[in-house]
Order: sequence, then C-alpha cells, then structure tokens
Amino acid sequence: MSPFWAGVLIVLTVVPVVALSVFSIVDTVRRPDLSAATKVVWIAGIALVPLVGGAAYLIFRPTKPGDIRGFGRRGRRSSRFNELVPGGDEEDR
Amino acid sequence: MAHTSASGLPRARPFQRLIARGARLLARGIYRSVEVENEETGWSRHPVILVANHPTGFSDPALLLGLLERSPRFLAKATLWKTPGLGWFLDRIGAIPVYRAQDGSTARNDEMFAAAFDALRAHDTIALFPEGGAVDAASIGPIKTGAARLALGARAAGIAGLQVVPVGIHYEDKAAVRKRAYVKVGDVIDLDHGLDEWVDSDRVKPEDHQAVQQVTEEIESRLRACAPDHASGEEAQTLSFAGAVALREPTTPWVSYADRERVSARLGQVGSEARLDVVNRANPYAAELAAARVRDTDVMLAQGKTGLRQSLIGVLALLIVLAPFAVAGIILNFLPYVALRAAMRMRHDAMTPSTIRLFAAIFLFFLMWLTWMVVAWSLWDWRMALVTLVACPVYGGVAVAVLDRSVRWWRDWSGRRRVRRLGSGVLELLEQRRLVVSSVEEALAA
Repeated sequence: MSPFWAGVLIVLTVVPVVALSVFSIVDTVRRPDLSAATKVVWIAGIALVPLVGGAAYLIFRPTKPGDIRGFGRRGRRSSRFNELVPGGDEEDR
Repeated sequence: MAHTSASGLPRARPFQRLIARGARLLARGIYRSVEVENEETGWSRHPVILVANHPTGFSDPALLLGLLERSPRFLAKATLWKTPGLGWFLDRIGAIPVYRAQDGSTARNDEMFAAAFDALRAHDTIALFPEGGAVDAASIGPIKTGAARLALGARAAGIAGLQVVPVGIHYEDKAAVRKRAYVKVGDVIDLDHGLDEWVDSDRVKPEDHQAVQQVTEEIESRLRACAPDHASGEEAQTLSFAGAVALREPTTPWVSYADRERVSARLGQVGSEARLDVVNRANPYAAELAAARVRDTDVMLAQGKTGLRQSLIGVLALLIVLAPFAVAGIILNFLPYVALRAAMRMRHDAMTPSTIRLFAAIFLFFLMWLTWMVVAWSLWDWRMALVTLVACPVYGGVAVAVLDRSVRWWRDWSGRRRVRRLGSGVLELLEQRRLVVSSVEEALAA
C-alpha cells in the first residue's frame, strides 16, 4: 500500500472513532446525573476500548431523566400546525 | 450505587435497561423516526395499567419497551409461549400469560390476575392490548373487559394511586421498513379520583358487571381519542395526505409525521360534509400527482425556497466519510435485510404467523453476525472474530443512516427536476393544491 492510501485509510477509520470517543467523554463529564466515580469508570472505558467503549456509552446513555422517553424526534408541533389549528395544544392535553 | 431515583421509586435494573435499549435500537432500525407526544404526564410515579392499540403484533411491544425506562410487564396470549425461543424471551421480559376464551379454557386466569396485582403493588407497569389481538383496521376494535377488571380488582385489593394510561400507536406504513411512527399518550384515568363520575360509588367492585362495563367504555373512549380513528383505510390515507398538503410550505416542504397525524385526526372528527369536501379535493390532486409521477413535496420543492444544493454538501460529506463503513454494513447485513423486508410485507390477515416470521427475520440478523464471526475466526483469530461481531451491527447502522439520507436527498432532487420539466403544467397542480389547502383550512376552522 502506498503511503497516500495508507493515510486515507487512517483518516477514514481513525477520525470517526476519535470523534465518537471525544463526544462520549465530553458528554459524560457534562452529565449531572452521574457520580464522579461512575464518570471516571465510563471515561476510562471509553478511552481504553475505543470503538466499543463509545458505542456502549451511547447505548446506555439516557436521553432525558424521566421514566418515559421520546426517541428520535420529539412530537413537537410546527408553526404551520399552530396556524392551522389554533389552540390545538390545550385540546390535546 | 443508589438504587432509587429522585422520585423514590426503584430504578430500572441493568437487564431491563438493556432490553429497553435493544428495543429502542430495533425500533429505530425499523422506523425512520418515532415521535412521542405527552410523555411527561407524571404518571410514571403511579402503579400503571398501560392500554395500547395493536396495529402490528411485533412492533407495538417493541415501541412500548423502548418508550419506558423500566420494562412493562406485558399481558400476552398464552399461545405465544408455544413458539420456541419466543416463550423464553417473554419470560425474560416478565410477560404474564393470558388464557383467552378463544384459545380454550380461561380457568388459569386467576394466576394472571394474582401476578398482575403483585406487579402493580411493586410499582411495575402492566401493559396490555385490550383489543385482545392485533387488529388491521383504520380504528380500534371493540375492547375487551380485561383492563377494567384488572383495574377494579387491583383497586379492591388495596392498591392506591392506580392509573390507566391509554397509548395510541400510529404507523405511516406498517408493512414497510424505514417509515415513520408516532406514539401519543392519551388522557390518563386516575382511579382514585374521578372514578365515581361514571360509576356509582357502591358498585365499584370487580365482580359488578355494570361497573366493569362502564370502566371499559371509559377506557375505550380515551384510547379511541389517541389512537388512529377513521371510517376506512382509504379515508385515513386521503385525510393524512390532505393534512400533509395543508401543512407543507415552500420553506418547509418536509412535514413531521406527528403533525400530519394530528391534523388528519382532527379532519376525521369534523362534520361529514366538510370531510367529504376535503376528500373530493384531495383525491383528484393525488391522482394528478401520480399521473405526473411527482409528490406534493416535489411541487413545494420546485417553488425554489429550499436549499437542496446546500444540503447536498452535508450528504456528500457523510457519504465520503462513512462510505467504507456503509459498504461493509451493506455486505454484512444484506441477506437478513432482504428477509426482514419480505417478512414485513407479509399479509396482515394471518397476524400471528407474520409476527413470528418477523421475529425470525430479526433473529436472522444475529445468526448472520455469528456466521461472520465464525468466518473471521477461521480466517484470522479470536480477536478479529470479536471485532467482526461488534462491526456487523455498528456498520449496519451506519449503512442505514447513510443510505437513508442519500436516497431521500436523491428523491427530493429528482422529484424537483421532474416538476420543473412539467413547465406550465405545474400551475394546474398548484391550483388544485390551493383548493385542497383551503378545504382543509375551512374544515378545521368550522
């Protein structure tokens, strides 16, 4: 393999993995619901086992603290909806 | 580590969280998006009986599992335990068998009630589909009395703070993969307050047929209010289309599925005259679009107020960075994907067999991954085998994300081009479109 293609390969594989690790670590630090010890364990795991650690973190990360969660997109109303159905919010509650 | 959450309730056990995560991943794999409405109603602090409509045998439980932090205890028909593998899984998620009259003797249902009361006492959620089976229709079928008997029985057994939570599940197209889903949590029934509004207070006993009937009716009407409720499948489709047309704007040609369902639900409730007007305007417009082989989205895109070219940059960047992973993901998961598509497309009149085949198709993914793992092991060593096992689902997810975005971008781009080629023909489409929008506006204003 020429040095050029080796470089391309490194960029293609390393960059996403590093991005995943960085995101996971930053997110761990910012989370208010974890104790310091838990954070240390997570960060160690994410840093020591690159792809798998980050993926495991994403899988176990709660999206919000409540018991029931929206996944993906939230069911919010668009401005056009509010235009078409004024006061629709109260009706649905 | 603390085992109680801020509300003082037991926290989800790791295994339950794993199940919930798995269900979420599965739902997000099968559906392009899952929108949830009214999820923060505060009912999770109560013992809850969750009643949902049941359009598909397989996806509905998966959605509910993904929705809740702690797995609900499903009431499932006892015959499901006969399927090898499924029975084991149902035991793992704590499902409780129900012995339905149509499957033979109901004698063992006392055990079901006892298990359900125990679960409610432990602040677990009981989830059931009160239609008594999957229903392939545009509205919910008549519901069985089980939920009401369970609720009144639990109340008689001294369980306080009990709530019945209706949940409406909507699918854009339940027979296809990568379509959208919408879950609406409805109006909660608080059994400690307000029960006497529709039941005489001295009749609130689980043995009282009239009380059971009244509570059942109340549950049915609240479930009907949050579930799809249309006169026919065709009308549901037309009203949903009309709703989308009315919601779409040149600046935002993509309409969320939740908004679309909310508008079509309202259109289903307006007077028959206004509704007929909407249908009579929407159907010819839909036919005209089909004849020109374009979508309403394309007509809006052709108004030229959306930066499709700018969004291409994002799509291309994604494609270039992730292409190798996506290609690997496609190769590794191609066979089970084809099987999954075939299973989803199966006719819905044979609900149970099609559900089991879907279950089998999902299982095929794991089988395929194990096969690749064995291949990697024989070619290299156990470390590569482990990497392969992780790479299969991860790369599969990457493939789905990349393909989804690029295919949708291409559809928008080519659709817009087709509309532009229509030349002045688009004026007629816009005129018909205007009629649809004004009919929807009139119907909703009335």
